[in-house]
Amino acid sequence: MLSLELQGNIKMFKAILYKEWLKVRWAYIAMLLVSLLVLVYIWMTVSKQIEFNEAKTMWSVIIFRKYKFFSDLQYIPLVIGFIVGIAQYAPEALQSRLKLTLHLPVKENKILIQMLFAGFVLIGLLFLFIEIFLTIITGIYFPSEIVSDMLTTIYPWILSGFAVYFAIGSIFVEPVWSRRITLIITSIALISILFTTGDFTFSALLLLTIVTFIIPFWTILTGYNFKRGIK
Amino acid sequence: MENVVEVKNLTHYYGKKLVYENLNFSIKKGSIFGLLGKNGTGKTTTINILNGFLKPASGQCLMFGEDSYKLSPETKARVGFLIEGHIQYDFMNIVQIEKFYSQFYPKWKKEPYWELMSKLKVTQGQRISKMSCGQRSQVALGLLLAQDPDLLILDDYSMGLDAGYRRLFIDYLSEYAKAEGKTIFITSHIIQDLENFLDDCVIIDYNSVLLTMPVKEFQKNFRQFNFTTQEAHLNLEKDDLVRNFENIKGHCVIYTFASESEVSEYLTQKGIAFTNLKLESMSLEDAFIGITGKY
Amino acid sequence: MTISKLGRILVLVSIVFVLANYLPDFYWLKFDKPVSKPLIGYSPVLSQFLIGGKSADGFAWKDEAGRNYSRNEWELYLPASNYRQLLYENILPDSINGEKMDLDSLRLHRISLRVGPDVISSRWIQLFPLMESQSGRVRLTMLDDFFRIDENGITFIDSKTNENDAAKSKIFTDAMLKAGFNFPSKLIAGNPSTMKPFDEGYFVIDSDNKLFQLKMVKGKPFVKYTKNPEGVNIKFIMMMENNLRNFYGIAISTDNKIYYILYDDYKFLEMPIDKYDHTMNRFVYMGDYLVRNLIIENDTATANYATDRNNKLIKAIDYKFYDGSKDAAISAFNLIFPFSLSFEEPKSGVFDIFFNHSGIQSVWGLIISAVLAFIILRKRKAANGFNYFDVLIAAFTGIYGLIAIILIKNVE
Repeated sequence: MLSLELQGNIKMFKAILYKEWLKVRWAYIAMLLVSLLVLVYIWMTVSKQIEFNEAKTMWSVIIFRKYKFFSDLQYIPLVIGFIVGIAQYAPEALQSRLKLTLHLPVKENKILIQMLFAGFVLIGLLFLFIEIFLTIITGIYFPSEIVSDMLTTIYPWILSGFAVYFAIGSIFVEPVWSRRITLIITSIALISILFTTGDFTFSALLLLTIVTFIIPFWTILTGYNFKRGIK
Repeated sequence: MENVVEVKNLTHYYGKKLVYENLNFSIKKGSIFGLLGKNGTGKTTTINILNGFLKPASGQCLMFGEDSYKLSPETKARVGFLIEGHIQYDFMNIVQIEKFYSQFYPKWKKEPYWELMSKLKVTQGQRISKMSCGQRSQVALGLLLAQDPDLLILDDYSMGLDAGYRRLFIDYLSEYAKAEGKTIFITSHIIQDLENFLDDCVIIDYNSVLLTMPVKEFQKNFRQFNFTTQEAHLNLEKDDLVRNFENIKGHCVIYTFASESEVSEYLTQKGIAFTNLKLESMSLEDAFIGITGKY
Repeated sequence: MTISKLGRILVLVSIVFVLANYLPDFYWLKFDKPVSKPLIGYSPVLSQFLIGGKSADGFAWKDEAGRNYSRNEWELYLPASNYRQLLYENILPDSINGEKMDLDSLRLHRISLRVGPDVISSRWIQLFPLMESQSGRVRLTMLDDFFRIDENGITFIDSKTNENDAAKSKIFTDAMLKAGFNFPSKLIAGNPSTMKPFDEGYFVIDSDNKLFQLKMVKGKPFVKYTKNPEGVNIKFIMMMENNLRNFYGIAISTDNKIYYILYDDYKFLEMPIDKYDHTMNRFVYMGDYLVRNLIIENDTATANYATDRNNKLIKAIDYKFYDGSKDAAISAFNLIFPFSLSFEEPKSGVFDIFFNHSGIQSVWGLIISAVLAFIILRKRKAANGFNYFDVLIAAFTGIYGLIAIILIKNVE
């Protein structure tokens, strides 16, 4: 039996999720289609390349030249995070609609974090779909070593999607332009680290994950600034 | 009687520009309180402070005894808030928005909402953004009524509404206010609708507070005297007696809290030759314009 | 501490993280200067090292004492490594130091190889093609299958179907078990290229640290335990099939020793070098018929060890080629930046988290940052102005924290 407080929290989060979903659904579906398109394109390309160049050549360039047959996907999570973030937060920030949200009988920080969490769940599901789809494509043509290498490679790309989403969510709430710019530059710099070419080690990925998941908590500061009415 | 809202020595600046200083008022439980002023005098600023969206430069604002800047969720649930321009989640339709808000308010009553909605000529699937301003105001009002708050804060409910919708709004609010212990705080720049509706009011002007008193008292004691004079360029400075003065080619108007004899004495003392000193009756709007001036 | 303060600290942390990543890069974009590496070779004729490098008037050849040589002299004094040029000019001597300048020998011994920290640390997908080492054809060809080694044995996967070749896998697994191999493997090293004269397969270290050679001969497994020396903890093996057939390749141990793996019963022959650190230095092998130059390099200096064909040290030289042109920039860097953070070491190409602190020199920078923070915060007004916590941030993170606290004002 869940405690009453927890039940209340879940109920409110579901309501927030519902609201965020209504805002982002078209953008979300569009992004789902874009992802699907890119995935199918990658699939067709791989099968064509294998047909034309022999599987062993394809395996060799992947293994020895670190060829990324899925590199078309590189910026897709970034685009998803960006578009979904804008779709979710632009209507909120325009016309001070955020005041409605912050007037709801929930603690302000809680509701801001819940909004980000709602978007995180939504884009997370989309990323999961991409990963599963790509795992299946890769698994058809290549052994598990190449599958896991692929997953390791796309991991920072996926992080970039979360990072840009979190950054947009936090920055839209911020009322002061100078600080918005500071945060925009900080997030661009942070995201570009994720696209540093080359292989991140496990510990590097861990650190980058931690740093990415600090971004949603920026909203505590920007929400405070919004509330305080610093202009 | 218990005060729902207490504003103490509120001073605020917009940048370096003074909005007002030492604003004091309190709103009694069960009363209807108006914050009146022309556009740009700081009505929305006050509402923002009251709702905790702005930290005042100094002074204090209490709602249900809590600092308005740190309202607890429980208190926020007791406060209904209409944002200027009837802003709502306009990406939703009327079904979605009701479904959304109902999750947050334990006392949610959907009947008054649907009653209002049934009178609107909108389909259930129509997005709020596709509705007319008047229809949007009804959605916002319906949501407030369903929330059943103890205190309603309405920021310029009249904005963008034609006379019919404004009337409708006030009618519903009057009905709502009849319930036990419901308090309304309303701002408007259209005064005529509020006649016979408000209990108390604060009138603010650019960077100052003009008065704080019950509306009945204001209407009873604030007077307009007309007189004529030969001095075509007569101008009286504002002072304790003269709250406002107009002179159109020798036809002069004094707005004052003083009695006829006091005005007469005042003019005589200043050595002004006048004739036809006469008390004119005023509507609330006339009185508002009288105290704030036409410009 | 209020929750909004915590939110601010997280923003500050993010900004410091980003600045520590990028500011040092920007700094070096502006102040880095190229350092040219010299070419050093041991001359068996002069019995000393000759050093070629950039000088005021172009490229110059000098000996250890600083005497100048012409390019032709350089080639003459390093005859085995320049034999093709000398042959072309018809001035290749018949013999040097009693060694006959036999063309076959000259060609066979001309081998070079380099191993940097990036090569040692880089990650590769652990799938390998096993070639037929005696196909009867001149050219090597790649087969369709790739193998993996795990706790179950060796598995061949056919790239055409992406399915395991159970029969072949069993034959090879059995052969490896029979040879005493204990699955899984710790290291698999080979040279999977068709651009080599012949194929020696792979060196594989099993879970007991035993080194095996694995190859395929006429479709059958060839697995041999090499009896590698105990106590040598192998970090890295580079295979290099060459017609000299003197050594299969080299092995680098975790304690920074470098060995030839000889054809002679897989003996490990330790190279007479010191000062090597596989995480920092590049190792270069430049062998010719007369001299095997073993070179340990970093960004500022090189250590050259000239050995003979039998691995006997002839002469060694430490040569610093860095001229100090960046010293001022480095000192200023250490003063300004208390630390830097990166995920790739630009010089070596190694990927990891690199947190480099600037040492004792940065103390002054930290003090200056703290003082600046103190002054700036004092000037700011009341509530969101001065606080000791911000000064502490500047004191610990220097310029990064200072910028962060200036950009993001304190909250109540």
